[in-house]
Amino acid sequence: MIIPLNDVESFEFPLATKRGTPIPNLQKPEHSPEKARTLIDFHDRNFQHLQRRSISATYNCIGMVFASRRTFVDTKHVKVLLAEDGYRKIAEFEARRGDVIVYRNTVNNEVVHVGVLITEIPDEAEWLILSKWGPGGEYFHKKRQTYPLYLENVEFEYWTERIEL
Amino acid sequence: MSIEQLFDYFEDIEFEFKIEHASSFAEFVSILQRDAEFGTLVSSVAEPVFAETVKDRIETLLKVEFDPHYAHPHDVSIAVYMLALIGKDPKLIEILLTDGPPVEGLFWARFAATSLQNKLKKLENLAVDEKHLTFPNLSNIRIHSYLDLDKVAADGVDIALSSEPGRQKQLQFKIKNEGNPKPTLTNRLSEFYGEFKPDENKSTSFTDRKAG
Repeated sequence: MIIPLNDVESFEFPLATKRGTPIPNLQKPEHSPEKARTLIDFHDRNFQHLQRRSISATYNCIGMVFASRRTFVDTKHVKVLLAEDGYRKIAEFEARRGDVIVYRNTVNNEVVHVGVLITEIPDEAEWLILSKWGPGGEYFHKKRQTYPLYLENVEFEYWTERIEL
Repeated sequence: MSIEQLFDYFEDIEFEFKIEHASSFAEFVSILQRDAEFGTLVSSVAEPVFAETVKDRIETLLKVEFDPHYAHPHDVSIAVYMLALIGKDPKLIEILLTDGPPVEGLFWARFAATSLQNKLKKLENLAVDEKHLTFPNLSNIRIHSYLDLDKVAADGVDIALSSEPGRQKQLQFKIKNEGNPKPTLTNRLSEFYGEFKPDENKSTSFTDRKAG
């Protein structure tokens, strides 16, 4: 039985930046209903305090933010997506709903996770974020309430592509 | 931990849950690198009998029937077993790239297959004859085949590689002076998955070196 090849340079769906640079991507097969139910039970036991939006496996955090939840995009492509989709880095106090939070590992300077700012949490001076945890669940959470892997040596960046006059 | 217990661990939903949060194959590998049981698995497959057992397990899991509209139920564990074997005996599972109908529903295992293919290509380009070298200020250095990185642990030497320019095989080596890292599981895995980039300017031709 042959295991088909694939790598992060695959182009399964037409996906490009606003400037037209193709972005490699690969759609992950969906969980079977049985596996999805098992994962939901497991999520609920481990993250019962978080609101889950979806358990779909086909996309990751990058695919959620930059590819309309269609496909899985490797984190290494975030740099070109931000640069060529008109994003600019802003301070946290400048951030607004809909802007993007980037989790960057300060040791290797690589992006490990991204999410979308949903709303400011009253009285907490903190944002509620929506993000997809790899092929796992899509959650509403505070920035440090996410999967531990994303929080190692992390610094948070805020990016927007808003046009304001 | 027995090999059966390792199978139970890697095929359990808790392990799958942990690894299914990886946003990239690099993160997938990173999670594995921190997993003590994966280290145990890698050590275990150094024994040919266990390597064969793991290979058999891969083949068994690949034959599991499932609804092709959905992900293969053992995608994660197949990828994990492949990665363990790629590090020790990639030729043992070369058949997974060449023989039979393609298996659908895989995702992580397809990345592992690509790693396997890359590894096999590297091996094809290696001059695997064992060489004996002596360097100034270093002693007892032997360059083994690419698969024996564990043995390339003499002080000051980290990585050995070779290339095949034209028809004449030529062994090249590189000495890294970065704190003399030992060939740990981490840097060996990094080697397998592409982080190591030979610096042509610093590599030295074996034939240019003189023993003694």
